[in-house]
Amino acid sequence: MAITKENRFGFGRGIRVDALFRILFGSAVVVAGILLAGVVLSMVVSSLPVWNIQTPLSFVFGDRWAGEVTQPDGSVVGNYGAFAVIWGTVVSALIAILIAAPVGILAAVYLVEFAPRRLAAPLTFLVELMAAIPSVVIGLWAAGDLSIRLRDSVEWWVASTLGRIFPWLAEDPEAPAAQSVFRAGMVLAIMIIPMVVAISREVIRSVPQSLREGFIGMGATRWETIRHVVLPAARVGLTGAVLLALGRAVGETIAVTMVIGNAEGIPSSLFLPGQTIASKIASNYAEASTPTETGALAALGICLFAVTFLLSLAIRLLVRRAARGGGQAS
Amino acid sequence: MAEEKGKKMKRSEANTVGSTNASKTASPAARPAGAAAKASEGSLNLQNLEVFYDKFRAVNNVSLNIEPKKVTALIGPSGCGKSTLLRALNRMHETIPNATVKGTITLDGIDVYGPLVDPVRVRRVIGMVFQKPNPFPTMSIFGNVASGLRLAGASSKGEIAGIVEESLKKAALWNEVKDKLNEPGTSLSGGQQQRLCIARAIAVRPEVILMDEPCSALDPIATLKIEELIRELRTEYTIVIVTHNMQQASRVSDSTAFFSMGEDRGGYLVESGLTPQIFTAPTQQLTEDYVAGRFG
Ligand SMILES: Nc1ncnc2c1ncn2[C@@H]1O[C@H](COP(=O)(O)OP(=O)(O)OP(=O)(O)O)[C@@H](O)[C@H]1O
Ligand SMILES: [Mg+2]
Repeated sequence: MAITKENRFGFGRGIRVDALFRILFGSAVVVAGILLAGVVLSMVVSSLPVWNIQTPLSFVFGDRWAGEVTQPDGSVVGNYGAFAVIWGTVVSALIAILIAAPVGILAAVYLVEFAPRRLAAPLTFLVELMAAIPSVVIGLWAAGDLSIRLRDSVEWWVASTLGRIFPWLAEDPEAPAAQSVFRAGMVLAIMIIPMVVAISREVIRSVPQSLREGFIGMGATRWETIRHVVLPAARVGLTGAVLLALGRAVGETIAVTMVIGNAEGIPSSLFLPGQTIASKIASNYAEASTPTETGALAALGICLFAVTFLLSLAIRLLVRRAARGGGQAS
Repeated sequence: MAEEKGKKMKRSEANTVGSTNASKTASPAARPAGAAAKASEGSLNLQNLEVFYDKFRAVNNVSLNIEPKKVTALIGPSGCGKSTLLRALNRMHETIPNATVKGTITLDGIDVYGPLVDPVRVRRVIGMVFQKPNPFPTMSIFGNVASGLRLAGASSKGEIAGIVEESLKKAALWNEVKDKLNEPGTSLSGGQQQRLCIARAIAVRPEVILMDEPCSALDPIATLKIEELIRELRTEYTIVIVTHNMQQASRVSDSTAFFSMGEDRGGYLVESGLTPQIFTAPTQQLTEDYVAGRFG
């Protein structure tokens, strides 16, 4: 179209296009919000039956999943206790994060800051490939060969050193358990490390090169630059990477179900079998026979939400406090 | 690649004069923060300097004397290797994986590339200010200036605070920031950020300060402030400044070195001399055309 005096500023097309995209992107957010609200709401609704037969307090703090009993007078009393599975979830996820966060972030630092380019590209590809391995495959590997190897190496070593001091790290040397909470944590760590590496790598790469050069130009070593400039600048993104991985660790079901042993109660040692929320739901859902039992499992789902949220919050606060301490030192 | 490195090693070994050199090498770098540089310190000498990116020779056989406690301007068309040469002076190019240097650079007679020289220490003695102001975003104004001191091992709070104040004053920034030292360095304006970066460079008491187009991201007033600052700093530091602004070069520098590019895009030194001479009576036609704005 020819440009004339009248139309040389256009016909407001730019404004209309912007408005269109604002609506488009805005509605995507609304859809995501509705979906989330819908999930929570449906969980709350399906959990309702269980609150007729027991209180939320006894549900959260009861440590046995003992089912429900019909009293002689016909009334039903629920004995669903979620505490042990919540414990199992938190502990296995924390073990996983404590291993995966440092290993993953250090590996990402290596890939970005130290690895020669010829090595970095294939290694990165490998890591991304590992992040894509289906968890059931990891579960198969973990439940068989890996589980025994971990038991006879890491677990044995921890149990025979720290285990002598802390009973919750002890193990019966004659009959080590075939499955354990600790091992579930390690398997989770293996599953989430690639994810931590992949995201952390992107985050560290996005720290401007000019900042590194500025610090090196003042007489800093590579390590000092990483410690005082790169990691602080990447802090928010790295926290995000760890939180995403945590979300996966908390919710991971198949592989955990295959290695944790699915035993009732809080084990006296990390080297004994336990259970997580996700593994409990997965192994009990198909056989749930009453609306109250289904309700109890839905209530567990809500607990899973809460655990994820609270753990994320805790990690965020921890990082912020650590950063404030570090900020004063640097 | 390996062969190249071997050659480089041999050459730098050939340039060291046995053990006396090694002990001399340690002295400027080990100079404690606080000891003032001597009047004659900070003279750089480049002999047959060549800088490569892989096989590409970006700087070609440059020999140049940089006078102590003077401002030397490096000028020349874009891509002729000014930044490359500047970064070779304090071994900053070593952060680029495929960059290699041949030839010798000496600071007060000491080989900057000598086998016992720690590049990290070199950069404390030969500091750098970059084209784009780059304050560290996670550090306060105070922290930005103190960071180099802490790297150099200073730990006394009072001493650090004293040097930070002194450096900010020298960088003509103190009055503007003295009431907000704890705010992030990135909260300052572009010109203030650049002066903060200069303060940061001064704080570790270098002998030489390299500046790569330090004003190109700044407005004219901020630029004038930095130029004024450069003229003041000259009494204490050797300054090497890359600039595309001919007026700036003639305003701030004592000597000027003009570079150009050959057929192979490799940069070489056309001529160098006192600034008035380069600008008014250059010996080369190329220089005359460039400073008159007829080329590049
Ligand atoms: N990291 C690098 N890898 C490969 N080649 C490079 C690299 N940096 C610079 N070069 C090349 O080296 C030559 C000199 O670059 P340099 O940046 O030193 O020029 P300059 O004189 O500073 O230019 P300008 O005035 O535009 O800043 C150019 O041909 C450039 O393409
Ligand atoms: Mg340049």
